[in-house]
Amino acid sequence: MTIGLILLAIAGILLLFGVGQRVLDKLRLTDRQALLCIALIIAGGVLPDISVTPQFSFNIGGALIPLILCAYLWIKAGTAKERARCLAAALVTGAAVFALGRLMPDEPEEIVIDPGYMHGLAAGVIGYLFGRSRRGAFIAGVLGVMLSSVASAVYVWSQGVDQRLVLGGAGAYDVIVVTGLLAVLLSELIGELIERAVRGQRKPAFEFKDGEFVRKEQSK
Amino acid sequence: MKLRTLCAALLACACLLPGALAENDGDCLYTLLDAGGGELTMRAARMYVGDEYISGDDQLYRVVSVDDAAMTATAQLVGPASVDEAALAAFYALADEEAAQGDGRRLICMYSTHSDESYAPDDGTYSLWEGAGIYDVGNALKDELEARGIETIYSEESFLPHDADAYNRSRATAEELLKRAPDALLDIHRDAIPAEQYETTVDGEDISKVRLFVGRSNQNADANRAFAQRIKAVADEEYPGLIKDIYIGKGNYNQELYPQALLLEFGTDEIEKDKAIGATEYMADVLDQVLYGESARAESEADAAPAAKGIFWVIGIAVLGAAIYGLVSTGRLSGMWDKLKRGASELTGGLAGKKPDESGKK
Repeated sequence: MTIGLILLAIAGILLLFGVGQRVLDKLRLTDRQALLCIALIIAGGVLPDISVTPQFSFNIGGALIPLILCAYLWIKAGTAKERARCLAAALVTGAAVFALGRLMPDEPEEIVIDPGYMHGLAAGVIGYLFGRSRRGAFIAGVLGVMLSSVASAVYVWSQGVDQRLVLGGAGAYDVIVVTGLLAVLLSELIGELIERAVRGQRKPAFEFKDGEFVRKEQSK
Repeated sequence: MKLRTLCAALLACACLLPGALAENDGDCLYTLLDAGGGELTMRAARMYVGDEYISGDDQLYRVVSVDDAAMTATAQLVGPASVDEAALAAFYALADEEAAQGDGRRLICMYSTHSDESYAPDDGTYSLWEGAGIYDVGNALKDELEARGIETIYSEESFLPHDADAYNRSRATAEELLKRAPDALLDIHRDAIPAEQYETTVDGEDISKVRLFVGRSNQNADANRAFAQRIKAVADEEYPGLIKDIYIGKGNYNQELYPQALLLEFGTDEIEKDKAIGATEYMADVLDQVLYGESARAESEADAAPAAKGIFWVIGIAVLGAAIYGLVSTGRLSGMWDKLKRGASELTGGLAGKKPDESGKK
């Protein structure tokens, strides 16, 4: 590996740990769980893709770990209503990502925002609108991009083309991971802005404790 | 979220799908003009203020205005296109380091993001979902490189459809190829502008020119650009007329993955495929000289500063983003500072920053 690549890898890992950990923290994961997830995404990303059929393979760090994380967050969701909202947000995000991919110009120089980031923005807004929830945004982003990739592959296969579908093939730098992280960051930013606008300089009514947001005890 | 709101959102998305299934045909054609209104070149995509263009005669232009109605852009002459010597030295330092760590293996990896690109005169159409002409050109380049003793891996994976997500799909293949630590990673394309723009004669043979494309929105842009300029310099000396020009445009084209990554346009959709194939012999020779030639090695100086410059930009933007986030979430600078200290403490396991107090308050 070259010096440039080592520097790039270090920068990428620092960014992923710095940003990624704060993001996962907002998903009500403990610090250890968050760090473990990031380590698994990075380590899994460099492992060879797992081939299920000649036409379909997936990467452990780029697809499997985010999917397991989604399943964990979905199961841990507070109510059946929130779980339903998460799935609905994922479906709508999937349709939006698919449509964005097809409607945006096909040359990168014609696109104002890179599709990889655009998907994250879409998932963040849709996830927040559907449930005002960070975990909803993450599930919407990760599952939405996966659904869109599968839909694109099915469309190509339906045209008789034998093309391989690789989910999360670029590992930690894959659009699935980037979209999930961006979606949570954006919903966090929207949430913070709205909450700040509503409560002004008053102290927040909730605090993060033992992996959960709990209402602060009122001082008498 | 009410059920009817959910239904409305799903319905809106469903309405978008038929339009989404209509593939982009990429028929937009912009002309780049100099300050006097003279035509410099064309591009089958929109041009943006800030794009740069190095003409065949090595003049550097910068786009200063774009007229979307007329589909033209005006560029100002900056001056002779000097090679960033520091970036070039850094590029060769990287290449030398690869060679020192390897077993003397010479390896180039290639793929084609736009898997449908074809040559209408020979393939019958400009876009084929199966048997696209671009793979004939890619395989011809592979054969020419291998004839020079360079191991070449050309992934013939397809990344259809030809839409905005094509580069996201090809990214996985680019990453897979990079695991082999190649000396260069090439994305093989063809352009979509009139054929006469690409027609040339080299050594008495009618062939197609080759355009080099650098994505400027990536942290490796300086190294990618130095690589492109070195290729043009060698080609201009050995095979004048082979390299059409260098376009430095918006986007990253997966070039952020590797300093030695480049996008090559072999001809255009209207040119005969044999002319594009004819260019591969000369291009292979140029790549051989640029990557493995003795003169190339002699210029190598260990100075990785330019390669690192882009990375510092990325880190700077991340720090700025974190600062904005901190300010928004705390509402004041002191609160942001406290949050930063707590974050540092969390990340370093308490070695740096401010530890949470005993009550567990975060």
